[in-house]
Amino acid sequence: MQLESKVGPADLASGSKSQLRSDTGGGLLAQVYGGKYAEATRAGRMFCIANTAPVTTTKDNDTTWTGLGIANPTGSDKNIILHEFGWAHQIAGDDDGLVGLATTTDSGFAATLTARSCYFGTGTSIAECVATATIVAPILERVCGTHGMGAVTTQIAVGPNIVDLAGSMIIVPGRSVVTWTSEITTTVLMFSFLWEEVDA
Amino acid sequence: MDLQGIEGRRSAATGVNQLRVDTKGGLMAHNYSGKYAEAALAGRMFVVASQSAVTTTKDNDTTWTGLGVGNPIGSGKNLIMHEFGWALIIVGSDDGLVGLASCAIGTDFTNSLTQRNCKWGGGPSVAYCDAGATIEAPILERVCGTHGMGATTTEMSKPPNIVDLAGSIVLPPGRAIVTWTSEIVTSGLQFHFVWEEVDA
Repeated sequence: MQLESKVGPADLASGSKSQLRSDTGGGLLAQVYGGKYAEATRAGRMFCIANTAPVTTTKDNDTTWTGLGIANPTGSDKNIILHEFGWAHQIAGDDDGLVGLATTTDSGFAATLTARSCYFGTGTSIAECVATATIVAPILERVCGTHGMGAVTTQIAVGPNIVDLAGSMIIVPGRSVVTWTSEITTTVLMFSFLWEEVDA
Repeated sequence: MDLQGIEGRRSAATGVNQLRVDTKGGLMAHNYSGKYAEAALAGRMFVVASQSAVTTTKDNDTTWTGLGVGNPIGSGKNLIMHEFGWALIIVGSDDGLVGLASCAIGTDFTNSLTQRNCKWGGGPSVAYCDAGATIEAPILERVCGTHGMGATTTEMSKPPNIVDLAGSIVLPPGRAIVTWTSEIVTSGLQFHFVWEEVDA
């Protein structure tokens, strides 16, 4: 069976039936409507978590880790598709270094923080979210920015430190993602994650 | 066979529905998930990051150091580059430009770093990832930002230096992409790459 489309714009009234439109190269012309996560959110697949107060972060691959982390518990039968990571100083930093994302196993995780559905009232996340855990040594996977020690009286604002992961990190059952800083920061940084949960 | 849609928004029931078009005949589409989610879930996406700050070489130095991804001759795959990230971990030792250059993979480029599948357990990469090699003179292809020597006590933080390559660099077998700095930066920078592997 061959599907066909028509080159050139139509002029359609509401409710009219029309052939789909293509460009002169035969490519189907489509218009994406709605926010890119709207369908997944309305379906109750999107979840988020954020620190509710600044956290002290641990250095490098420290296994007595603190920050913000999400684990997909073994046996969940879900995959976690990570879409976004955000980070910011709440006050002036006490050391300079790098902010990143690392992965490890789900060892040491528990559901101590409550993930929120992005569509209030729909669904419950299977993720275990923590701000502190004894974990298996993480491996740095993403380099997400530099944290400094600048005074809060120098800059009026610092642009969003939001990384669009766009689904490029999949946390399978038994794995986790954790924030990573190259140096200890003391009660300075806050983080957030946005993710989708689908059947494994 | 003509593929047709109907102009106008409606409340579609679960099950088979007619496609929706705009007034010009263009298909109205909705994102299903993040743009890399399908590839990541299928195990085609990979990542590598510098695990500590690296010293970078100047300009087109052929005794190059930094972070590079190579597609070995005979791999049978193409590497579609999707993302490049970089950040200073300390005050820079010199100011200059950060970019991406390409070159032949050569014989000295080895797989000395561990790349990770973006879906844990999703299969191995064909890529060689290296932090230093004798390469043929690279050609700068992308200008990605400026690294400075500003004190870490001036700014609170720097937003992510993440370049959305979005598949605009494809490495066929025998080619490599390497980080490029206009000046030597001593143990200051860390990098990451995200890519997809498809049959050549």
